[in-house]
Amino acid sequence: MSWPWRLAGWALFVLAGPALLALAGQVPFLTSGRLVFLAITALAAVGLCLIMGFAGQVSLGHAAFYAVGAYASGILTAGYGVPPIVALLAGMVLAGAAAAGVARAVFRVSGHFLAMATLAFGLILYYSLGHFRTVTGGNAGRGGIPKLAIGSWEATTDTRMFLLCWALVVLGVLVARNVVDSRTGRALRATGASEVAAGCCGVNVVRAKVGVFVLGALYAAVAGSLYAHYVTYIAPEEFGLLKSIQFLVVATVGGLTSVWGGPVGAVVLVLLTEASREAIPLFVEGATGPYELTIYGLVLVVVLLLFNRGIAGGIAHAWRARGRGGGGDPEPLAEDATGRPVPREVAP
Amino acid sequence: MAELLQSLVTGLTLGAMYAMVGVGFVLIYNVTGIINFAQGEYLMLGAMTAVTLVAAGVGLPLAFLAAVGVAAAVGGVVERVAIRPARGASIETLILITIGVSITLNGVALLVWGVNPRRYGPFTAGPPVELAGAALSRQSVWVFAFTALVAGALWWFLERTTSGKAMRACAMNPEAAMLQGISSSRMSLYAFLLATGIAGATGMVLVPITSASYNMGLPLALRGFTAAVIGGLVSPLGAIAGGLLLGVAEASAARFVSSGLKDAIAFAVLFAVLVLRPQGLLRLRLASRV
Repeated sequence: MSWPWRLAGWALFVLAGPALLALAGQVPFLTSGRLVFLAITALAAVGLCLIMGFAGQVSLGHAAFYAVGAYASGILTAGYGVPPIVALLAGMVLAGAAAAGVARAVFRVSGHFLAMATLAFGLILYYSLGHFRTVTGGNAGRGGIPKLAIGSWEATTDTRMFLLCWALVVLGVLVARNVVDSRTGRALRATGASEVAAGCCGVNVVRAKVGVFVLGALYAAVAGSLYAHYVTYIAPEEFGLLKSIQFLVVATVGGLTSVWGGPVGAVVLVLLTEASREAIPLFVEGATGPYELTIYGLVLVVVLLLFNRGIAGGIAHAWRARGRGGGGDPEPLAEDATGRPVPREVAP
Repeated sequence: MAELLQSLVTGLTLGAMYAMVGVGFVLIYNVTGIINFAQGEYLMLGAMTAVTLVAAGVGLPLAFLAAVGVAAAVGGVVERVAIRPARGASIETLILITIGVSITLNGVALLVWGVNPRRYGPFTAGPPVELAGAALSRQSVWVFAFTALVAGALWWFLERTTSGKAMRACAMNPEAAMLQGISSSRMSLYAFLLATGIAGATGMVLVPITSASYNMGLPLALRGFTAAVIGGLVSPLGAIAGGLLLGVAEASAARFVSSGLKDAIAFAVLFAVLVLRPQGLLRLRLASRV
């Protein structure tokens, strides 16, 4: 894309935050509180897009790193009086270290096994959170977490918190964009096309994959910290398999191969689920429980079967196809239904 | 000693359930190469159907048939509508689709049946059977009988019938099977019908032990998958052995380590097997690919 278009795209993205906030007062089912969750989900999903779209690793355990961020923030601030911003950074360090360890272990396997290994890791952490009460507060959770404060500025209102979160989403996408366009990013895309060929060209495949997995985990950790400071209470329930799946659906629906996938997916799915939360009880009397999950599942299946690049990926592709893409992304090789380049050889 | 035996009995009951779920994973994986993440939801559909019918006064045998029928019918429709159109897509896409199917079925069940767990009593009423100091509930006996029956029937189907042999051929070498005139698309449908039907039946038999609720499927599916992985993921017999092993390990962990950690331990087993020995723990001579 030429630079005026690119600038316009970024301006649109930055302004989407305040626009959503303005919308929150008007649309009945959208509150500024829901928007904070939207931004947090978007941030975690940007990280997952990096892991899945660029390193090509299905992760069913993204919520684990989200949990590490949240619990680091919660325990350090509520238990030891550490300033929130320091706790947030500590959460990132911890999550990064955990991700590096997990990645080294699970990248020995591929395909289904990799997805299931990340899932197992997420579940081990989830059940441990409920078990080790003295540290985590157990299933009852841990409260008394202060609101996020940077110096004397405190995110006391939903509006402030949302604007901060949105700024972090913009920053996160910017970082992701730069990583994807960097030498590492090109190495990763080459890896996605053919691990053997990339290896032959001198790409350290394992290091590239581990690196992007760690980076993706950092996004989740920040999102987790934001969650802990916004809700001021954390319990294992928020960090279970359903959360991992929610991130996965948001990232996939948004578009795994686009750095915009996270925010786009989050906006679409949050609006859809909030609307369906209002609409479903009109059709099904006495509906209770997390029934909006139905929408998540349906949207995921439909998007995968019909718009196989996700929403942001589809728009980006259509845009390139119009011939305006001078100097933009290099055209990928053959693509599969998720829009990822098709590996040349099938994993054993 | 009695304590050890008790945890063994409890573990084997749990394990028999995991084994049945694991067999479903193996059947579908062998023929289609897909890990059917939604496997647990068919178990839930079977259990919920049976509970609803029994509450309406229908007899247990009929409820059993209905549970199998509903689960298999939904499984067949899902295979045609969601899985088949994506044939040729990457492994990742197929995993994501089955996850989507799983959440959808879960959500629909929630809308239809609500959040409250339901149940009916054991198939035969009466006190637990005494077994050298360990108590074995009557429903556990039913579960064992059911597991043995399914294992036997499955063996007979795969080894002795033309369809079963075709299915095994398809698992061994899809191209060669196709050249012999075996439709891999039809075999994929059969595998789904068989696996989801078994899941529905399992759900129906489990109701007196676990009770039925819209979210019962996922935890069982995860353990069934672990069972299948322990058995090497390609052998039904391996999955059954893996399930029994996992059940006993979990019950022993609950009794001798900590009941709060038994879930974490079960998934630590899964993680360790996947990372260290993805070809499975059990290398039974019989545990060949279907």
